[in-house]
Amino acid sequence: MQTDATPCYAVSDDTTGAGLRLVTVQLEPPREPADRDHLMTQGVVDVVSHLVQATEDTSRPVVVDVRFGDGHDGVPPLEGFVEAARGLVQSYVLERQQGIGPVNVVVSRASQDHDRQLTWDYLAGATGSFSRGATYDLREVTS
Amino acid sequence: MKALVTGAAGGIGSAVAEAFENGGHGVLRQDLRAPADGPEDFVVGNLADDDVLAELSRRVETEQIDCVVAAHGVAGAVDLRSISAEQTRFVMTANTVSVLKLYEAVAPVLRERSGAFVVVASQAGLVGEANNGVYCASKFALVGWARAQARADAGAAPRLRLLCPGATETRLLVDAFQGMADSAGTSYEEALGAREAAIPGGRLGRPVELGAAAVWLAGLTTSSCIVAAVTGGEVLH
Repeated sequence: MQTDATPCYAVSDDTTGAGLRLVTVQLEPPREPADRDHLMTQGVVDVVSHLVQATEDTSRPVVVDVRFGDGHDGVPPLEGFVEAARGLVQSYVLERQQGIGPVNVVVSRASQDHDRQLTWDYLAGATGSFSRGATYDLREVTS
Repeated sequence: MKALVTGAAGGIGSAVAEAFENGGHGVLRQDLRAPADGPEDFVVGNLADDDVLAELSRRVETEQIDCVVAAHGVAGAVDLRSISAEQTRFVMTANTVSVLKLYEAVAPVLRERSGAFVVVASQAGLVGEANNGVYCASKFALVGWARAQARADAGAAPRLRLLCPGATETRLLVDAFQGMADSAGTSYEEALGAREAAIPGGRLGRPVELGAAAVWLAGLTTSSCIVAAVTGGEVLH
């Protein structure tokens, strides 16, 4: 597992038992403006790098797994980063077409183990591959 | 109303500034370089420079500016396997981080004046585009940030608006289409023709149309974060 970590994000690679390649991005609120700026610049560099590497094996579906620490969603720069990931994956799917396997984004809170696992199982399954370039945001709606 | 327009030497930024002036509003312009035949009162400098941000913040405060239009930006049309880390950081800094910093610099004064902050994003902030991934990420990030910021502000000013132009007749577009054509192994003319064919309106947008949209958005009083996709129907939102 390769991990790129900073004060407000960490990007790592893993493979689930069902064969799903994960590019996991764990987000924490920036403490300083410099953390936010680093997330928006180097964070995007790291996601691109991990994403391109993960899709080299076209036999496995890939998920960009964006996780929020509980209680940390709604922070404007973090929500901006989620959208950046959505834009990257949409663009990459359009760019590579059938040259890569399915790639999607799953956004969740750390505590949402059940829904996250259910989503991974769907995306790793034989009938999940028509989801491509989608972003599934599993977070509960809050006011 | 008096507006600060960043990126005011660019195709859309200059049209936005003109539209405000044509509507009888005052305008302060900023860009990296002032046009040769432009107005004298032009703040020249890079928004990544804290001194430039401080100067803009001071002038917003002292010149009764109640609207800021962030119309600056750079192209970044390279496929994701080829784009360098350096170019990725450059595009994200120029298109995203600079807007967040500008907002921080001017929001307190705009809040006191019930002002507006208009972000010129892009239709590439609403749907992905092949061979333009980092540019899309930079604009998607603006959309996500603005919506969350508006929710966090809970209806307090500044009123946030997102103007998402479609393909518009500007130098930036020429650069972007050239980059996408190079990445896709086609010509600029082919890239342009394919794009025009995909626009229900049958043509590219004109800068004057984006200027009009910016003035309209700035005048709205609703506290909702309005997203205006001015795309000729290419992207529906």
